[in-house]
Amino acid sequence: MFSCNGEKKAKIKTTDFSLTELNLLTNYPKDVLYMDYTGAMHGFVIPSASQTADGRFDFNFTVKNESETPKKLFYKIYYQNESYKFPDFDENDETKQNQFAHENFYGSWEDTDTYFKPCGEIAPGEEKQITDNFRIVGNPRNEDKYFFEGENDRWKRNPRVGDYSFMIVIIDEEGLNKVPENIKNIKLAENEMFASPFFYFLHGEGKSFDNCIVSFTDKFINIKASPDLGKGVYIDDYKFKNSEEPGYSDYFNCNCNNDEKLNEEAPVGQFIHYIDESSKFNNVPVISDFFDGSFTQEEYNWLRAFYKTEDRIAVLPQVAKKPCETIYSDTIDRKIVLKNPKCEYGEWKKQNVGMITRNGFTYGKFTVKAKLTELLNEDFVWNGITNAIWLIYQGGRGQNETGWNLRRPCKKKGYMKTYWGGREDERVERVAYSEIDFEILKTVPYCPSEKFPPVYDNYEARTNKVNAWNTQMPDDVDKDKKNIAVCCTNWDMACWEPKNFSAGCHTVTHNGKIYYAHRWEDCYRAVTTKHMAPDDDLFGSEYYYFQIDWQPDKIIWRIGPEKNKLYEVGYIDNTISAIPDNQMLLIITQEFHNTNWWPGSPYLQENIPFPAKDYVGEVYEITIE
Amino acid sequence: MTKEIKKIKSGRTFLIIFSIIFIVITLFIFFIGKKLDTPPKVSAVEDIQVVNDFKYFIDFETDKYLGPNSLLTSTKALSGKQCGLIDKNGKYGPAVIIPVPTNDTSEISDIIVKFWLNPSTPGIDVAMAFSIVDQNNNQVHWEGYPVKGNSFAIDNWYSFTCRFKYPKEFINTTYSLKLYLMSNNKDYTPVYIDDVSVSLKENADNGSPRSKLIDFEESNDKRISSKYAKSGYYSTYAKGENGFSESVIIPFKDLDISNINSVSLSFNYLSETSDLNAVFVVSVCDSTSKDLLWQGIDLSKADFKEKVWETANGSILIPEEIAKPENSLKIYLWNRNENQVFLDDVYIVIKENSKTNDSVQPAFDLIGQKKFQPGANRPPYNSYVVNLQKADAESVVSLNKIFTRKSRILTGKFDESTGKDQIFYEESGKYNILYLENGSVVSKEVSFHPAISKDSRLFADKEFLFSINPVDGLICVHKYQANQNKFIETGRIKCSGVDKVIAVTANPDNSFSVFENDGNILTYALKSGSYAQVSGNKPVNPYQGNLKFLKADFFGINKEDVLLIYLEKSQDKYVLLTYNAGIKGWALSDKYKGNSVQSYDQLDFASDYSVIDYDKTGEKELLQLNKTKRFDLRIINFDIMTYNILFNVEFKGFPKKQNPKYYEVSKIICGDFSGDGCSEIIIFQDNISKVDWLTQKTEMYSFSK
Repeated sequence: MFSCNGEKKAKIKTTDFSLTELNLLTNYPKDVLYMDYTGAMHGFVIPSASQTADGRFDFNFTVKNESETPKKLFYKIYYQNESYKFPDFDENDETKQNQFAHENFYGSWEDTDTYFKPCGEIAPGEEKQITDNFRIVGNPRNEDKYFFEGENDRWKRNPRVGDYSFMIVIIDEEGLNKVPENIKNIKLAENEMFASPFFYFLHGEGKSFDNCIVSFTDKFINIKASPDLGKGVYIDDYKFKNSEEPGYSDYFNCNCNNDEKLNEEAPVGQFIHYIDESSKFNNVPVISDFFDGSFTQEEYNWLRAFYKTEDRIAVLPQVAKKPCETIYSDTIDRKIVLKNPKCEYGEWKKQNVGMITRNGFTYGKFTVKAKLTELLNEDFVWNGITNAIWLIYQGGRGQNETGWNLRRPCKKKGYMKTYWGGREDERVERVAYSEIDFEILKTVPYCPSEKFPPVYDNYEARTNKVNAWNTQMPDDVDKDKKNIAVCCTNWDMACWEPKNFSAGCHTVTHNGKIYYAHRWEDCYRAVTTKHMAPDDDLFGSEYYYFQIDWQPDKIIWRIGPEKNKLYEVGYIDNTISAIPDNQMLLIITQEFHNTNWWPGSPYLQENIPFPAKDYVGEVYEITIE
Repeated sequence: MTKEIKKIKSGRTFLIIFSIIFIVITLFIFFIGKKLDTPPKVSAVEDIQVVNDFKYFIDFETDKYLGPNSLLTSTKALSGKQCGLIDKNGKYGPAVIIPVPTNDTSEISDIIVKFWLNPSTPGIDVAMAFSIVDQNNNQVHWEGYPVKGNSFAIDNWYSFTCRFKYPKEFINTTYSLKLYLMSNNKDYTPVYIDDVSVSLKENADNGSPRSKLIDFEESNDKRISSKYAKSGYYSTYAKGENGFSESVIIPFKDLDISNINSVSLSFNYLSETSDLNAVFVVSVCDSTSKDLLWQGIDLSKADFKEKVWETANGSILIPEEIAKPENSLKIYLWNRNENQVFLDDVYIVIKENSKTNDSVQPAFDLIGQKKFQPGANRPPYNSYVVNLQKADAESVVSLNKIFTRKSRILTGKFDESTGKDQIFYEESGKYNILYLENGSVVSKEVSFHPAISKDSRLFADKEFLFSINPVDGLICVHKYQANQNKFIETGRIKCSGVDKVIAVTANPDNSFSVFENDGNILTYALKSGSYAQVSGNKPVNPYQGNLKFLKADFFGINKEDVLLIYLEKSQDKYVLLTYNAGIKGWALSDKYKGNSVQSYDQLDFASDYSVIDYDKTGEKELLQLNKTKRFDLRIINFDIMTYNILFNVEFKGFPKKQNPKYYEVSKIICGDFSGDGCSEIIIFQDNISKVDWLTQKTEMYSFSK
């Protein structure tokens, strides 16, 4: 009878009236919808004006008065993201709302002041069809914290991807009076704690109302997102310190600039790294074509041994000074191209490059199809690059608007206040900082702990003894010479709330596979698992897939040659690490790390020459689902 | 009688008592008077001097004069190691608090504050606030000096001077004056502050002991011009080829060099024309004005606009051994063409060793100085790639042979008709000439006529070959006759002490000079059919015969000079000599003034040297092979002031991983063996211990592009 996609649940008949028909998506025949990025900088709307005729999901339902007296009935619809949510009820007591259910993404009509709509008076025995519509928008509860200077910044709580359920509640006047205000008006909250209408009507008090029909469809649409990478790169001037200097806009072009058109349309921006003093290193003053066969293990050893501090150049990794010079959006092949620029004598640089998406999401399977630069050359020496695919918390308008995108409170010890602070950093109940990383580079596994650190032979700078400077790698490291480390990290800001929170190596099992999660110390802000994989596979092939599957209670990292051949390489769940719950952006970078951050690495950044040629990376496709 | 005696006795007693009393009273008066007449204590004089000074210098190195919670950073510093900072952590920068030093209203007039700011964005919007606070920290007076602009160069230090009126009613030691920077910028972008000078008097000239500004306003030098000035009315200039500007000498005793690491420089220059070719020179000289350290900042490659003041930066590392108060810093501009170049507003800042006690500084700090300015003869050097010349197997064997024998290997244009350099070597008592023909190495045996002793020592210059018989002390001059395949003797020179000979030269006037390892140079000319000594001099005094000889046209003037590199009192020295036909002897070259001035990387005696022409200009360069630290092969040329390390040579094309620089043993011969005007390197490579992946080989690499 019902034409909707999902299984219907809950009650559809009372003694007085019944729901005889419910037709969802009457104007959208498919069960999958890709978010429309047009105007998405202001928040996604599902569907958009170009996806259905009226820019809404139309539905109708028929209700029949089964009683012998006229009935005034009322209805309200709710939708909820089912793929990325906490259960509506407490796992130990179904009659209680789950402590995190208020975080779930649910909504109703955009105007939260529209409570229950009247069906009109229905005569005894009469069937009445009601036609209506709705759309899924960001900040569906119209929460004040997402407003800025009077504007509802719906983009700050964008709709989640995945499956959506639909719930219609039809109730008579008497029942309506019993429905609490915060269910009628989902905007209402106490101390940011919202009452979930899905819990209320499916498990809570609303479940036992006599004259109330609750029809629940667990999946009426599946939402995905995939930005068009050929739509341009927007430049945020404020990210560039030198935006007022002459020559700043030398590389601007029609598909990469700071104009209003791209501000509206470009799904991608140029990412500019934050570089702090700890990134400093004294680099060998050498420029090499890393991939022409001349840079060998022996050459690395020679540079390492014979260039003392006084011969080296103190540098920090650099960032682009001229926007659009190292990134472009290919309008034909619909891809983003990144390049760490080559350098010349006198202009030594190891410049980080990257792109960042401009539309934030909370949770989702972020899949990236890319060919990032190779990391190892023919002699299996590392070029110093870390290919990173990562998520980071989204900032507010301009540089200074904060507070709207905080993680949920950490109830044990609190979070370390800042990303960059040391171990003595202040602890606070809430922070905005969140980060989930794929960092792929040449380093060693830290776990199990007996494998770390690898013991490297001492070397000496002796021109008359080759074997003194040309030492060999330890066997443990050499066996992985063709491999690079796929490091999967969750920045939990050292919140001690997870029940198995610990420092050192901690095993965590998923799908029968044991992962070693490593945290340096109790106050260390991140936990990492590592997987060794061939560089040739990940960056030597035409392309490779990388997926961060960010769920409310766990994060799974997968890679693979094809989207349907992904395999797990990392796993962290909320038993060992606080999983972020705020809105994040996707970043893809090729960056030069200080290897002091990666103790035990067989190649140190300072001994790796500056690039004589660009290191090019291409991003072909991003999907969030 | 008794009475008389008694009278006399009592008179004496009275006299004695009177005298004693007189003396005691006199002494009492003397000491009391002395006590009352004590001059003022020296400390009082000191107090007056301190009070009269009323000048304060705050360099943010300590917390002296700084208020609590002052935000300091060591990420940058104008002088010393750290500076003050205003950033997002607050609207206010570090506060300088100075107790009012006097109650005398005539002692204080205006407050003159000089300070340096360094912005992190092109915009600065701050104010230097001057306030007076009472004992309870209540602000009783406030005045501000705004600094606002949008076109500052990021990470550059700018100097500001402001004057505040000091209200007379607050000239009282119960008050303190307070100076602080406050930001008007809502973003609180970081602005750094350093070296704040505060004077409570007129004519404040209270510069930092670690920084100096030279603006040429008070100069009496002739090379001062008012045509252009970066600030004030005057600048100095250098005009014409090898013209020099005014030299400014700053004695180290006038600077705080107690923890000196380097001197950072910023200077402004203006070129009237586009063909700028000038060098800003910084040197450290001793009390006799002798250069101990020399460094040039080359402006010939600078990006500049004509007739516009441009700013350039540089730094010079000051080794501990020359950081002495008796030495001085000398700066000047050296012009190298007909252009006229002006110089103004030179800032000199002493940089100290880092706080982390990391006394070893990198060759260049791209964090402290955003733009690279190469230092003279200091790494990092640019590299020059030499390419392997492919050779057939036979050629490889032939090349290898010349190094596996112990005989002297000589290069020269013995067969002048070929226009190529050839290699002369001895093998098992036989003499051979090796040369390139159609890309292959050809070796042919040659002989001497008359034959020479097996023990003869051999030298070459141009087309001449000289043999020295150690027994009879004769130097025989030979020329190669290609048609006879023989070296024919063309003359004999009787010479004493031939065991000391390190080179023989054929001079332009057909004379020959013999160079001995003790520094003696003896010149012989043909007189009445035989060679006789016509001159002798000793321009250098090497220690224990530690002298190296090189001869080439180093200045591209079709005339070969001699470069002597030697050790004197354990110091590496060198000298360039030119042949003077007038005196038939060798004198200091007039093309070179910087005798023996060494830079960071030296022309050291320990290195091996060859002469090359890497760019076919005819002006020859020096190829220095130094394996003290590592395998360093460098191309060096000379100008009138100094030697210049141009490039580090890198090899390309070698088989597998066998880079010549890895080998434990290296021997090099250079010459224009291909005859294309560009030099080649023949390098023999071997190891002392066995290394499987590095096999013994001899290869030829070409400088030709």
